[in-house]
Amino acid sequence: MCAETGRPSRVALALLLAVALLPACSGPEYSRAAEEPEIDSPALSTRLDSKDIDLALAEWVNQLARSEFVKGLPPGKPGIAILSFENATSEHISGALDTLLTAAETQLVQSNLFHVVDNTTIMRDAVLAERLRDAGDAVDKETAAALGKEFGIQYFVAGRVWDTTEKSDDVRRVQYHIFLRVTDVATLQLMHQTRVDVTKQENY
Amino acid sequence: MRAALLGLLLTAGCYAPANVRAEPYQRAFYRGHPDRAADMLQQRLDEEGSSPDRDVLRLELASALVAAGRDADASALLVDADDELETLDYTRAPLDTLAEWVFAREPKPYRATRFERLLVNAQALLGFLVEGQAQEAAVEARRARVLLLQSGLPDDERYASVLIWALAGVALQHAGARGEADDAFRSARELCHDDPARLSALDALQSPPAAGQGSLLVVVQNGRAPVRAQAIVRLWVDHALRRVQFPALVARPGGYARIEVEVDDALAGVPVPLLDVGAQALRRYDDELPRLLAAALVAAVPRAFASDAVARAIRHDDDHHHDTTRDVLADLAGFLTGELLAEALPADTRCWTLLPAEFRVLRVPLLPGAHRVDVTLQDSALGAPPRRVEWQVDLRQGELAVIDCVTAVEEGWADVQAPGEQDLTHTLAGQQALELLHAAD
Repeated sequence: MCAETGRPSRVALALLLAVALLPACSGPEYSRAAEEPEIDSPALSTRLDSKDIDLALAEWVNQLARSEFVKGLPPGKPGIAILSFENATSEHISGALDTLLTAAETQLVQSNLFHVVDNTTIMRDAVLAERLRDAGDAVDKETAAALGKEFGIQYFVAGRVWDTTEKSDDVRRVQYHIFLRVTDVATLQLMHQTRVDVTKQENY
Repeated sequence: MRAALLGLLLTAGCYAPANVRAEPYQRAFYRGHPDRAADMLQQRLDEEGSSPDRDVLRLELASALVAAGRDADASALLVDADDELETLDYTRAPLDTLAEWVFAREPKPYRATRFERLLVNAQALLGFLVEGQAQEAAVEARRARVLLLQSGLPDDERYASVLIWALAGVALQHAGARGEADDAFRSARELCHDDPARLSALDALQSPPAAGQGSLLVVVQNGRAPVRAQAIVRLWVDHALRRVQFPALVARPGGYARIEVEVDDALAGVPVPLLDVGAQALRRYDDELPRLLAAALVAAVPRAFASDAVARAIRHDDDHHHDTTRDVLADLAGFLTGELLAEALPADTRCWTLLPAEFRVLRVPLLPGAHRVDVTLQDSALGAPPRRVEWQVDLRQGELAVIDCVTAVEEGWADVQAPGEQDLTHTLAGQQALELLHAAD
């Protein structure tokens, strides 16, 4: 009898089970970086993330500001445009490169050294956009002349990201090499080139 | 008497050959409804989002989407799958790892073979090419290259694929990465020396369109790849019979022997087979078999203990003296226990079933403008009537139009018979399995 009274009732057991299962039934939880800054830090894939883009951009801006090219700029604000960032890697990073392009444009505007023609304006010209796509980072004289004539651009920036990727049984390492170069529209002379390296690794 | 009874039991207990279990989406796919198959798969994924089958269902869905002409959806899905898909290398993984994954008591998340992993990139590459997304196709080409050149693997264990190198070459060339493209074509060429038909196909694949022309690439995914099916094998290990289930690879009939491409009612060419998925998978399976058998035995050890324990418990019951009938009954009980446990613990036979058996490829120059392209399919291995699949192509100068034709849809459903029960003790694979097992002790 005593043993019977000491045993938890079925209702109590069901309640206990429901409480135990409750956390498992709740949906995903969300965080805000403004409140939890550490959520921006970890690398979640071998692709380029916001932190990689910021680091690459900071390095580019730093090298560009100290370059002979910027020191020797003629008076007034010469026109400049960023044409493209080509993805020559084994990662689907086109979205990240679009972000990098826009962020680089922002930096150029904020430097107050150039008159910046935004990439969207140039790519709206379908004929020119196709010529630029075909040319990749090797823009020919005619296309360069068209850029100067139609958009008042004296310099253009083209970027290309290469990678060296290796895989073993337990590791996949992607070494990105981001090249950014500034070219003179009139002479097609390379005025400045920067290389920024970013390495990401996936451990199995 | 004991031997006779055991012999009788083995004969009676022999696994009756049956058909490999078919999923409704597979029947829909092969009966000409890849879109319906895609809907069924999507519904299952929606309902069983966190199921251990999720990754393999996504691969199946990608194939259904490709066959339904939804290449953009398929490529996006394959990119996601590639990020999350884990690989299990049947030829190199330690036996206990294989035992843990292939012979698990509870269903585990799907782990793809290295070959399937490579085909994830190949199919995504193809999908991006069909969609005209050259840069994304080039990314997949590079991802495939990383797998093809995977460090840490001896040369003879790497997958050498003319098709994947060649498609990578086309994608990289189209994306403007000419140096990388040349390297890829060189690698493809090295794999098919002494094969004039394939070398000639590679020449055509590497030729960019001449001035004022475009070009047409036709990829035909023909037939159906082998699938894994439950098989039961017997092996004598240390004078005891062990009966285990394991995932046998079974070839499936299907595919058209004669495939031609016509452009505007004129013969444009005959696609050349560049990858025999079926033959490559079956060859690889021969290498895998001893390890799979050994892993099956590793996984079977607890079951063997159970059946031996039952036999021992009956034979050595203290209440009885030695009795031949009792010994026979003990063997019988032990055998039946092992039998029940073998039936109750099947091996993992999940695989990417909607893959083709082979890929055939043709690239021809084409003048800019609107064209009708027909792929004609004749001499079906399943007796399906000849078919003509039509596409409309509007080609611009310098462009590459890509057609991806999956022949298995509409060729009809065909049952596949599972392999019968076999005693592999005296086969080469069985002996190698036993050596592996002893080496692992």
